Amino acid sequence: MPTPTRIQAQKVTGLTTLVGKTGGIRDLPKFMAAVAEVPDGSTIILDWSRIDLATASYFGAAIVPIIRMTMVGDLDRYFVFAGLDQTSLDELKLVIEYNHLVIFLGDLDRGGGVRNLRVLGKLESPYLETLTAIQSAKSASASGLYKQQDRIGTRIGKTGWVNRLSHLHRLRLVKKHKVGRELVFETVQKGDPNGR
Amino acid sequence: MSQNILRVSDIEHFHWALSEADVPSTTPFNGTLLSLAAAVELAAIQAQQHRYPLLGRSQSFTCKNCPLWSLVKQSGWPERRKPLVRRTSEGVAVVIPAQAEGLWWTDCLHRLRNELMTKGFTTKLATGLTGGVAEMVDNVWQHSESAESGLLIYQVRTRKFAFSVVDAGIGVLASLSRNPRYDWLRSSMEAIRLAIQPGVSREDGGGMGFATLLNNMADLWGNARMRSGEAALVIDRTDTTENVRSRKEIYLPPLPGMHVSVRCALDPPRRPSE
Repeated sequence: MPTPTRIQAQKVTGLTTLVGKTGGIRDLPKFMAAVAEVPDGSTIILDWSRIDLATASYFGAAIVPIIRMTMVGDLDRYFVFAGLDQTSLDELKLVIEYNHLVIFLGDLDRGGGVRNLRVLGKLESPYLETLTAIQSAKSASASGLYKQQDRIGTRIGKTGWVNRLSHLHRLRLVKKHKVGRELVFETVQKGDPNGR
Repeated sequence: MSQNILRVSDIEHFHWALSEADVPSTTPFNGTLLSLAAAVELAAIQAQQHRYPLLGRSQSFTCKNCPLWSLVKQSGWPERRKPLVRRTSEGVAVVIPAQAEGLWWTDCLHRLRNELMTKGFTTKLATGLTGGVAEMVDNVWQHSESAESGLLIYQVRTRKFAFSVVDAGIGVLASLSRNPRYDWLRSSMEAIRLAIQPGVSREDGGGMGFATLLNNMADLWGNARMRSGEAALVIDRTDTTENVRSRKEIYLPPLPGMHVSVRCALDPPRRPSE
C-alpha cells in the first residue's frame, strides 16, 4: 500500500481563513487539481493545521463535491481529514452530518502521518462493527469475516458481509482490490487506527 | 401608501433600544442613542427612501451626536461601491462591494478575530464569531442579487461584541423562492424561519451560514435579529435565571434586502437592581 499523500489546505489555497460559499467555489478547482495529481487508489491526508478558520459553507462548496465524486466512483481516492481545530471541526461536522456523509478524521503525528483514526458522520452500528473488524485485521474478505464471525460476535451470512463491505467501500472508508477471484478489503491507512 | 413606508419612529418597534452590549458611550441622539443595529437599519431606511422618493416623504434625521450614526454615514454606504474599512473609536465600518475579490476581506477577518481575542473572547469563540460574521457577509454576495454594496458595522468591547450586516438586495423571501423546493413561501417571516435552518438555501448544497452563526453564539448571552421584507425574527437569550433561548416574531413595514444584527456578551446582562 503506497504511503498516504499529504495535501495542506493552506498551501493549496494560500490562505489561513477559509470562509463562505464564495470562498469554497473559488477554491474547489485548486483542491481538485491537487487531488488529481495523486495516483488513483491513494489515501490523501487533507491537512488543515495551518488554517485558523474554515466554515461549514466553505467545506460545503470546496470539499463536499470532491467527497461526492469519490462516492459515485468518479474519483478513486480515500480521504483522511486532519489538523482541524475545534471550531473548524464543528463546522465540518455540521456539513458532513447534514449531507449524510461519513469521513475519516485523524490527528497529525510528527512524522506527517495520522493517528487515532476515527469516523466523522453517522455510520450505522453494523457498518462500524465491520470497519472495526477490518481495522483490527488490516485486510479481510467477506468469506474471511464470515469464517471469523464467532470471534467478531456478529452472525450473518456471507452475502451480508459482502453488502457491508461494499457499502463501506462506497463510502470510501475501506479500499478494495482483487486477489485471485476474491475481493479483499483493507484499511485506508497502513496498520491500525494509529498507523502502527 | 404611507403605511407601507418605514418611518424613523418605527425604530421603537425594533426591540433594539439602548443596550449596554452595543452602545459604548453616552452621547445623546435626540435625547436618546441609536444602537448599532438601529443605526444600520436607519441607514437602510434612508437609502430606500432616496431610491424611491415618490413612495413617501423623505425624513431627515438629527443624529449629529450619535457616534454610530456618524460611523455609518462616514462609510459612504450605499453610494460607495468599492471596499472600504473605516475604523473609529466607536467601531468599524466595512463597505462590502457587490463582488467578492481581493484579499482585503480576509485581512478584515484576521483583524476581527484578533480584536475579539484581545477583548476576552477565547480563541474558539473569537474564531467562531468571526466565522459567523464571514457567513453573513457571504450571504450578501451569494443571495442579494444586488449591484449595490452591502455594509458591515461591528463593535468589539471587553467581553462584548455586536455587528450588523445589511444589503439592499432582493431579500430572503425572493431569494429562497428561487429554489423550486421553497416556491410555496409567501411571507418574509416564513422565509426567515426557514432560512435559519441548516441546509436551506436558494441552491441545494448551501444554507449553512445561519447555522454557523447561531451555533457559535450558543454559549453566549445576547441575541440575533434577522430582518427582511415585513418580518423581523429575534432569537434571544437574556434571561439570567433560565438558560433558554426565546424567539420573537415582529411584523414591520417592508424593508428591501436583508439586515442581520447580532449582539453578544460573555456575561449575562445586569439586572436593573444591580
